[in-house]
Amino acid sequence: MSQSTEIMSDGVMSTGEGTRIFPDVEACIDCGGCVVACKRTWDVPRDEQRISIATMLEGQEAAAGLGKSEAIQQRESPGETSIPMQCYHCENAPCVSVCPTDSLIKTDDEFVNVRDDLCIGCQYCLSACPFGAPQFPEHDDDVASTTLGTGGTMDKCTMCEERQDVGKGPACAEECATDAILVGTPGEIGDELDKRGSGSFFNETAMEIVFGDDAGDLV
Amino acid sequence: TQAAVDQGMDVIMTTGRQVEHQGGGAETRSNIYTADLQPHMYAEMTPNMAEDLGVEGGDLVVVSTTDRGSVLVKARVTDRPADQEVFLPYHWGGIFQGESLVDKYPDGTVPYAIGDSVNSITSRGYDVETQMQETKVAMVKVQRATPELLDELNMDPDIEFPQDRDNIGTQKSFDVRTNTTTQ
Repeated sequence: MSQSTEIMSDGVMSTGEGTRIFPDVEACIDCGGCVVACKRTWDVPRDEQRISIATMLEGQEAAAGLGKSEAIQQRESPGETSIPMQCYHCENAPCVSVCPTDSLIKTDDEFVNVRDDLCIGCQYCLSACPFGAPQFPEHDDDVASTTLGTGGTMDKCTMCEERQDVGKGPACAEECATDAILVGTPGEIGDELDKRGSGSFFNETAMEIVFGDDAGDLV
Repeated sequence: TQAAVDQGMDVIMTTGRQVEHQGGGAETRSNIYTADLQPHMYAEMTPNMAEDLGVEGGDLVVVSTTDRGSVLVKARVTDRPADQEVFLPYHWGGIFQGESLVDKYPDGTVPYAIGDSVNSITSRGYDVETQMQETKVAMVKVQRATPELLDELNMDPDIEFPQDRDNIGTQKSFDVRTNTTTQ
């Protein structure tokens, strides 16, 4: 029996060094469970977020016969689609490249980490990130903040590194009722998306940023 | 059904769940995070219906049945329903047929988000074998909530939503015509 190939795996397939976090847009139902799990775990205030679900084409039907990933690659309408957006801890992280104080680093586990005591709030990372991950909770809209770029300390998804240290997956992925947030090596994520008949919703450029040389396995 | 149509009930109402809330919503509307994600009771309708009614997403509308009263809810405009249908979620309480019940809660127990209860206006029918009530559908009439109409129905024209007062869930879009990507 080759039954195992038929079954969806849990969202969290493996944790620790070299793992990545990635959304399955076919599975996400926009319930907000990941948002709540993240806020509850890290005491993130209600009006701030480290993960947020973006819903596009609300109430629209998809082009007939196409999956979301196929549709977007063929420039057809994917229909209503929800994507959990967060820091994807990119292989070629643009935020790390532009950070003038090296506050942003790739850790030994290959997660992207912001070192709070070095961040000067310049918000370069906000401009560099293709996914809108960097948040500036202390940012004011006053003239000084805007012109001088003093946004306070940047805040973003930590990949729940402390949870991973004790063998748990990120809170968002563990909570997800439909296993729409995949955590694992790039190979595991690619295999799982294949198995589900799903795929990436991002373009090639974005995929190369997230997965580097492994991007080919996922598209 | 013909009797309902004769009384101007020209819309099919279906009721159901929201992914963010559970059951009667007492828990999830009293949790700041889930209340923030789904802050309001609404009647989901198409842009065509909203245009006919003259309402924008977020405006108040009255949904009436033949003989079971009316509820006062916000309009949510999306392309999901058909033009002759509205969808109303059933997790809401704290407002009963246009009147706020906030004063009746013990101190400190008012939920972050309140809304009218759609189950108070669904069909009176029930299954004779199991006594299960029919709370799924009804023929209804949808109208813009004008001061005259609210007065006629004894609804509170100045109804206060604690979620609006406290700026909860302000990121939520209620009109697909003004927003292409929502959070």
